[in-house]
Amino acid sequence: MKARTAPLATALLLLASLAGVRLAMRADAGHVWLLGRLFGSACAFREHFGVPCPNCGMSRSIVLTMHGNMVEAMSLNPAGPLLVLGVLAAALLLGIAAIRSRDFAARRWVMRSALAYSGVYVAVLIGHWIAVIG
Amino acid sequence: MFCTRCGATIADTSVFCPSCGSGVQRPAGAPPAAFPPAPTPVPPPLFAPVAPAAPVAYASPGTVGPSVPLDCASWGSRVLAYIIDNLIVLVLVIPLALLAGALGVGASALSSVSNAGGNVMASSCCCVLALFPVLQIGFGIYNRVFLIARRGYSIGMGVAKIKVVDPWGNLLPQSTCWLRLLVQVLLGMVPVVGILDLLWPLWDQWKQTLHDKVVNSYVINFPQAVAMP
Repeated sequence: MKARTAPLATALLLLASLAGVRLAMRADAGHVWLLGRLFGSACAFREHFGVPCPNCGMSRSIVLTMHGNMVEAMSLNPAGPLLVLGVLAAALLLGIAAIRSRDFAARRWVMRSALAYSGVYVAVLIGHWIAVIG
Repeated sequence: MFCTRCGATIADTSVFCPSCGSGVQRPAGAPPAAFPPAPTPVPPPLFAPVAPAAPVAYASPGTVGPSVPLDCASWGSRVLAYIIDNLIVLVLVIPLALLAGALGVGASALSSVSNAGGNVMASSCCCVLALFPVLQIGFGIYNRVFLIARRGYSIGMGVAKIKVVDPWGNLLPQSTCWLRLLVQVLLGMVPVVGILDLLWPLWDQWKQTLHDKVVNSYVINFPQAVAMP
């Protein structure tokens, strides 16, 4: 039972988090609002060193992606849309894992995909950061 | 054939070495050994094999799976070990944090009296703060690479009575432990994948995390584990 309910619950949680972002948050190029109130604080890395950290712009980028503003989201931090895509892919994968056989989660391509995605994500995050501070 | 660990002579059909108890490593493509062989009374093996009634013992095509039946550890045991390992780092960091705080307060107090004294204290505070990541990385390498390669379990794993083995039940070589840690760090850098990596044993057939799958390692129950390093 747990082999089916755990991936299904995780998939639903991931989708619910995206839906929550879509419904409760708004953003523009410089701000994020949660339920109409300004959300977030200044980046400690930026405050201390004077340059943005690799994750700067992620909140705005994710919220803008969820509102369909892909161009602005990509310009703020391209890892944002990639993260949303990863959440959707993970939810789909876990949904399939819940429906299909137990050994679906042990498939080699699942592990390789997760590893490849992580590599691309980190490369995009660091690549964008170098471009910004360079 | 001979045991790859202790060199003792063992039967071709053996799964465990009768001398040291480690799993028998076979070349890729070799037919699986009959299980359980139990030829003669032997010392207790290093890990407990699964009961013969276990439904699936070997990996099906296209999947990653153990070469011998393994008593895989539960997700709860793994999380317990993970929490303990991280708490140890926290315990090590707290004295440093207190020292950094004291130096910071001293720096601000001294700067009103003497600029040079304040600068020295502030520099010392920064040095202590820089030690945090160094300490975390250093302890992580000792705990997650050195200890696991040497005896199969970190301090937290020792408390949870679990250990890390390869598909044949042997200890992982140090290079594999390094790769396992690096993959875990890489996956942890990606928000969703890091969480999935932690949750994956909940629905995995062999209760592996994603970083286990990458290096083909397994975490098994090991009641003989001793927590202290």
